[in-house]
Amino acid sequence: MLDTLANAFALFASIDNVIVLFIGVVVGTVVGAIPGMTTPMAVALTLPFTFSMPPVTGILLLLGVYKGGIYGGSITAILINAPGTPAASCTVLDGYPLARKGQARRALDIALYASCVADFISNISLILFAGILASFALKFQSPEVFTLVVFSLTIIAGVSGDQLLKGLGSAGLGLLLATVGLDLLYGTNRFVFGDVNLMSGLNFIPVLIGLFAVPEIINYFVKNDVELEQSKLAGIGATWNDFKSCLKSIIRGSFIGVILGAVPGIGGAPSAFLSYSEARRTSKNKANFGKGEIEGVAAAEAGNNGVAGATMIPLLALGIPGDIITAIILGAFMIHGLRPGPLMFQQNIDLIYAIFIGIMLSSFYLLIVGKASIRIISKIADIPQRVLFPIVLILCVFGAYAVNNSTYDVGVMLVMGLVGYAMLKLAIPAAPFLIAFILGPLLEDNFRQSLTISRGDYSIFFSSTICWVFWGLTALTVGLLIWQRVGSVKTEVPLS
Amino acid sequence: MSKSSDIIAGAVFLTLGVLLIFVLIPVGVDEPRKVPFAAASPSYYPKLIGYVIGLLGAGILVQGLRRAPDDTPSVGFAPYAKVPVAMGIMAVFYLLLPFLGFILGAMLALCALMLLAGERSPKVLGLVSVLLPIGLYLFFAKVAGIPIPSGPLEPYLIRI
Repeated sequence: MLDTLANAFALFASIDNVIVLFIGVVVGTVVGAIPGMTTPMAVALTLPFTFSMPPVTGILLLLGVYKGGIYGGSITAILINAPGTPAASCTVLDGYPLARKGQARRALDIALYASCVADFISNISLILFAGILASFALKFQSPEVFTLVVFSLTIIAGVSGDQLLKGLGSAGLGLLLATVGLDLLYGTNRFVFGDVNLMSGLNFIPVLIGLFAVPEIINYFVKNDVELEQSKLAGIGATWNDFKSCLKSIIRGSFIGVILGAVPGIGGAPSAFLSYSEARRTSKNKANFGKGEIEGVAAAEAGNNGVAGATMIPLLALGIPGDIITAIILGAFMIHGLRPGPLMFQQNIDLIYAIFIGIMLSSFYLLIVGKASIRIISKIADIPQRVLFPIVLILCVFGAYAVNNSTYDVGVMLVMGLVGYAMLKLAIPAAPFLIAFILGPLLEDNFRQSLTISRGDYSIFFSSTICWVFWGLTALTVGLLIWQRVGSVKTEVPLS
Repeated sequence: MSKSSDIIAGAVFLTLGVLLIFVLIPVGVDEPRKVPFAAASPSYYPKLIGYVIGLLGAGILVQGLRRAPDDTPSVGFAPYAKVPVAMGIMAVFYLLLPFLGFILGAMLALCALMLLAGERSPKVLGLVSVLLPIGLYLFFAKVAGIPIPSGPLEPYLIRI
């Protein structure tokens, strides 16, 4: 054991590894902060640079980009209401309202601290529980994932506020839009109407930018004679009390991220939403969620960063990539003649430990790079809004284009901007749309895959303990919501 | 929460639900000849969503009709005058993208949007609308390796 650790340390302890990991975190943070530049895109673009590097150095570079990218996505989510990554989409719910109140620095600080704590917990979990969690994750088949997504969707009721029916309608629109494209089972067209651009479905980033960033800009043109609140960032970062009040949600979110991250194919977004939902459910400031609650930012970021280390669990322990990024990292392993899985734990354990050492260092780097980036990037909020909003709109155009190199996506973004503005005017909450649009494909695919396995028998959704646990949790959450609503109606009656 | 927004939103959802069930799904979803069970059909899940959207629309409509009339006076259309202009600028930018490319198009759109938003300083207008699109082009095209169509500027930029 000590020999292995000594070998691992020898493998890691080179100046190249230390520098390359730092560069990776910087690149990831910058790229993640640009709407339209996704973390998988950044990791994929970095892959060719690793060909000439030793295996540990190359993989650490990719891991640095991955970790930085996940945090970077939260920066624009908070500052301009346009998350750089899908996983950061939950952060906009409270991050942007905080920025509008002039507390962008506080939101960015708490997002960073939550990210670092979650990342650290996720890395420790990776090291300690790789084997155990991987075997649990393998038990997740389609019915279990379906019930998990159903449970995650209960958050829609939470983010709809006092507009529950409209929130559910908004979620329906999100689910509907997620069905556009080729049917997964039969490969037939759905809502394509002869347009080849629609065959691969609507891309997440243009829809998201259109729905969240563009309506804000349109709204500015409606009331720009009244100057909006100006963000004063100096000296109002997050305090120790802020951090302390969010710590419970950060730790809970980190563990939600770890557990969901270990399940292949789930990703950061559901984890962020679930963590947010749990934080809201247990918070004293429940009513403030969605209006600029610091705990909401912390929970969302903890949920999505908690996934980062844990997605490596099925990759390293079983050789199963959980998402696109880990699939690219798997490719990097294979380029260097390595095959992650149980055999690697026997034959190249020193290499795995060397990666673990690097991963732990990445949490520390994230804190340094994040702190520096907040100082530089948060100056964006000091630009006069008559200049900032047009700049953001042009940035959105480049971002929407860059996802698929498609001008069609720019059109999608502009149309979704109008839809988002109409929703804003009709008081239809946009957050349920977003949640349903992200979780929609996961919900439908696993629903139909399960029924295909069971030949149409619905009892498959009740066939395992995990399914029952998620049904129970869903029933409990819905029951609590009904109870709370009935309670609030009862207390309103005497007042009226 | 207002009566009119509830009535409009309810009517929109209800219409969409009805359109989905009777027009959009029959026309827009291609069905395979034979499916082993109903839920396997590509139209099963969208239909389910259609019914839910329609029912919710009816619910929102009823909720709106039962609500007390709005007591806030209507602000009219005057504050919205700049919205069609801003969206018009973006629509022209989008339509001209194949001809002007991203750099020239973004320069013109950015300048027009800043003017519309009330920026009057020629220095700010000139510097921001020229430098930002060039900076974005350099980042996306030269650093990230994403081909950005640049229209008439293409032959000059290829040499950079």
